[in-house]
Amino acid sequence: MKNNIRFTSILTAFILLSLMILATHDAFSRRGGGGGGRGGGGHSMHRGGGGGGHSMNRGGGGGFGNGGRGSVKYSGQGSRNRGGSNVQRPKSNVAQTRPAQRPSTGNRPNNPGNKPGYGNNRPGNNKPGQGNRPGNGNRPGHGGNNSGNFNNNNIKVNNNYYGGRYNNRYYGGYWNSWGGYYSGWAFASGIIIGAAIASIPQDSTTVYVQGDTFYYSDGVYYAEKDSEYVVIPPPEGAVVTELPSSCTSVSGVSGDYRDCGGAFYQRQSDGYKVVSPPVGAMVNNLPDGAQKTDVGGQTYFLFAGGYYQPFYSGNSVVYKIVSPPA
Amino acid sequence: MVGIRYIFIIAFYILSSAFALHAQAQEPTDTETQNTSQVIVDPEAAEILEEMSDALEAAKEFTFDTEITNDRTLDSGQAIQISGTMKTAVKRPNHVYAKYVGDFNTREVWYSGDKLTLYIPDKDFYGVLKTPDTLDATMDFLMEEYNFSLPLADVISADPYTSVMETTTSGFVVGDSMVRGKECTHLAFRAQYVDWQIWISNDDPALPCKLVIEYKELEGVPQYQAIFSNWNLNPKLSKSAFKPDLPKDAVKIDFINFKKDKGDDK
Repeated sequence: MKNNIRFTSILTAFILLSLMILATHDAFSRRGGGGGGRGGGGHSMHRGGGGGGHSMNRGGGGGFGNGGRGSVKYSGQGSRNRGGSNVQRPKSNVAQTRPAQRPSTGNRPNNPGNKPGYGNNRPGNNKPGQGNRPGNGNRPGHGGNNSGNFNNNNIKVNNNYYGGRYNNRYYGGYWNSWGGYYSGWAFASGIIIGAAIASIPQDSTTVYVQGDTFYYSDGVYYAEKDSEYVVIPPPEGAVVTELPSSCTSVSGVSGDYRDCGGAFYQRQSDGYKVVSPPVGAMVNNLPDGAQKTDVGGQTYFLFAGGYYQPFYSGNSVVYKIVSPPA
Repeated sequence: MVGIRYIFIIAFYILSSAFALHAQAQEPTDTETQNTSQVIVDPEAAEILEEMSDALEAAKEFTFDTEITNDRTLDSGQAIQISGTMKTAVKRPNHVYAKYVGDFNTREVWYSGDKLTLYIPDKDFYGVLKTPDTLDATMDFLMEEYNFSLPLADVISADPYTSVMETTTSGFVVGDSMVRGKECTHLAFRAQYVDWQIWISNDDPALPCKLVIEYKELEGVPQYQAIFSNWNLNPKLSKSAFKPDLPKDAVKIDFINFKKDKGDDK
């Protein structure tokens, strides 16, 4: 008895499966006949997972079709097939399948199949409580400026801490060209260069550069000064083993460089070394605090000794680090 | 034991019949659909698409609005939908103006025969390129050299049908569909890098109601959607509509020429 039931259900399952296979193919080979085409099980909107790819930081996107976005014809080009060779416009094969003479335009008859009406008679449009959501009128805007809104509370800023020493010996003009922030630093807490704090993070590591001792934690460097610690720009030559996750890789130059909000690191066997901004590197965003400057009729943005020249890459703006203009 | 073997035999039989029937159904009963082994576009879908193409080709000038949504995939794999609106004006054979205002950026582009100007108001940057003197040649040129396509390039092309069919491999009519209260016919196509769908008005002229493009080769399979409205096929556009309107202090920047693979281009 038990076997019989199992047998029957398995058999039924197979029959149903077979019928479904037939039905699915029919529905799609007969272009929506009987209303089967629309949304019928076959076409799932499956979205593969995948990481990497496009970060929100990428300058452009969203707007015009960069790299063919928003266009069928150019979709395969752009970053994939840049400089594409298929500029030729062969007359499509499909042309052959088209009827030579189409009936004159006008009101096309509805497609066969008498699909049930959309919109008009659908039940369930009377969900309660719509339309009267309170209080959405006055939310403050979140427009665009997502970067740079750091929380600066609790940090004492005092640039007087820097006697001539830091300025001259380590940073020279470099110091002054740093903006106020580590813009690539974690969003959770803002750290301003020049800020003085009583204690450094517990996970700080010690970094030695030319005989001087600094402390490093999550992208930020500290120097000890009068029983306090002050935040300093990344000292060139310092080697650290870990970078903040917000650092991005850099294109346009050979070698493994990372951009941590305008502080550049080059990967080497024992970690990441602080380097000056590599000429030729392209970045999608300017470091916060970069200063616009015009030299010889050309606009640059200056930050930490690096000259950033803006370019259009497709419809997006990228910044290329160039040699200091004469 | 006997029972199980029996089940398998029956199952095998049923499945074979199913496939045999299916194969039979695929036999060339309709010669029109069997012309080519690779490109299979339902003639009705092709016809409706060409009807739309003809309507756009016939218009010497036109304007339309679009509401655009576009997926951006975060590094985590999560898709975020970005949206914006765009106004487009086209005067054949070689004038285009478009302004996109979106969540994260705004773009304005003017194309008038020999040059194209792209302006980004929030950064106050603009760039100018010398261009070929027809719209389609310009669009090919922009993509080939600068990795840049004009908005809704397929729709504003001189021959939208040919433009989209260059890469399309299959297509069919899904059925009728309401888009913003208008009766439209829903078509679905596949191409090498994208699957795309278009909704075309059932009224005359057969203008686009909606376009959806799914980038199946990109991480996260992002989707682009444009919903069309306010079509005007006789807007009487003046030349000044295509003349760049830039603030005095806008900063001119160069385009990277990817074909030459160098960082500047004059």
